[in-house]
Amino acid sequence: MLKIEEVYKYFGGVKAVDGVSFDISSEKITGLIGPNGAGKSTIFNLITGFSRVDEGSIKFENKEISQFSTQKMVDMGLIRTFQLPGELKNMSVLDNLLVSPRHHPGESLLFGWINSRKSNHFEVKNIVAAKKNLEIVGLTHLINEKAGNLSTGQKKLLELARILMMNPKLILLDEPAAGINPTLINSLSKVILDINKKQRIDFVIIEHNMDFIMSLSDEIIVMAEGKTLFKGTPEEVRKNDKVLNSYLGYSEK
Amino acid sequence: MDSILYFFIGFLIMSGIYSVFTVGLNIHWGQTGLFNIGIASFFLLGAYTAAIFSSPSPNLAKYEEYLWGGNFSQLTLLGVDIWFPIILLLSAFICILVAIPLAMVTIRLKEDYLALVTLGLAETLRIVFINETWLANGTRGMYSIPRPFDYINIGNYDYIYFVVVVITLIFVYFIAQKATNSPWGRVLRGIKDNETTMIASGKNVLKFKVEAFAFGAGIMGIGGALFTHGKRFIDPITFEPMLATFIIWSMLMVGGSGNNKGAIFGSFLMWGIWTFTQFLPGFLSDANLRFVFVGLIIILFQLYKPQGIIPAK
Repeated sequence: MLKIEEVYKYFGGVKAVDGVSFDISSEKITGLIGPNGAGKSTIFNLITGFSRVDEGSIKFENKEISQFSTQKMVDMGLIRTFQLPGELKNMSVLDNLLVSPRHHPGESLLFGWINSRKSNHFEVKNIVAAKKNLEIVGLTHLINEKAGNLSTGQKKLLELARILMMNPKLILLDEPAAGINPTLINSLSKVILDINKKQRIDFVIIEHNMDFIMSLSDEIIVMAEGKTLFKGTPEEVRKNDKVLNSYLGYSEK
Repeated sequence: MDSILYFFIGFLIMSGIYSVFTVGLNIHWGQTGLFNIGIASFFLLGAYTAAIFSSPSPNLAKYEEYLWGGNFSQLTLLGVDIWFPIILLLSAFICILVAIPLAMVTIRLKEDYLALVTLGLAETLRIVFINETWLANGTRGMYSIPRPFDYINIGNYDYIYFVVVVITLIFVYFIAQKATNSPWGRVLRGIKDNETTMIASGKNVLKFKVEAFAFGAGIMGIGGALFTHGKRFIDPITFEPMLATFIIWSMLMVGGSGNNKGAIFGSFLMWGIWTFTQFLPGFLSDANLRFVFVGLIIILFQLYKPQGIIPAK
């Protein structure tokens, strides 16, 4: 589904991504782990058009996308989050969701006036979808709350609901479990699994919380120093010497 | 007694005109977070467009230096001054025409740089109008500018112009309200809250910002035209930053950034403070000291009520 081939990205002399290749098969949750500075977030930026590859190719559904704009990638269903929750803090939870879908006829300054019927129709459809998505992530009771008043964990759930409004095919989450308490981590896991199984949306997740990522992922890619170190199931990753050396560390046996 | 009433009507007219600017600024700053501190540029463009297009050709006997006057004020339909709304729209159009390329070049810059560019444009335009006397009479200014419905005689023309201002303000408020409550306006609020999220959601943030900048600038142009026909005299000094930019910022901050009603309320309040402090005794009525009062109010509001009197929803 997503195929990354020999991708390079340099920032001056820093080789942030240094010839990375991997592919992500569909209907799976893929974990992306590695020490700080391994190039995980840079890979996300490259996949979603926030920065451009220096060399190499990124293919999504057999289409070369490495030169696409973020808008085009969102249209294709490639949507990401950031390490910090990206909620729109002064807007209600419902508005956070309603603002997300692309190609809203009412979002044109000139034609929004003329298209008001079409726009209302679209809006009504979105409200129904928004309520459904809030139910999936379990935030229905906060529908009219200002997004800024939510806890960090709720903000991350809100972000998932927001992304679901955009008809995603592959969701890239950058450290979804960072800064949230263990109870909410569990419900976040459940929501992600639920979305993955029921709606057949794939995930790539960068995470440092090993329990979370190991239990959630079908497959894990380990990166270090801008290169892919290893790819395998969570069990294989736990046992691999290279991974233990570079990232997880040994424990006394 | 009458003179007090006339004074008060004059105050309401000016407050109403400033309300138009503040609603425009609310689109820029309150809604989208565009840091425009060059309101004077659109004030000036709107005002001079109205003055040049409505004035008759220059009278050489009076040594008037401008080359061309549109003489639109002769344009009536069945005795009704339809030239006036045409002039308002033309002023808005000229402002939009200037705002779009400016925005396309500068809005990619971070906030502070946009502020510098807008401030720079305002000063540049003012100096252009001082030096290019063929354009609008230079420092001698444009005077005896025609006013709408001048033929209606009810003793004091200000009553008529008051109605004109109120109707225009209602119109401006209506379109601003309609636009900001639309899904389009919601995207602007999203951009103000978190630009990166909106980019990641696939919104063409640059396009939305340019549209918002042009829309707000158009409203400011209408304000400029209203000002011109109310005062009947404009010269480049009119557009110095204090009374053409910063007092409008104070109106928005005090009234409530992000809320059109707050913007209008703030305009009346701050113009009231500016106007009525001139009656303070002794040195307190000094113009520079009155600006200090305005500054003091801004600081107090930022400290104790940063969202303004009528906050955004």
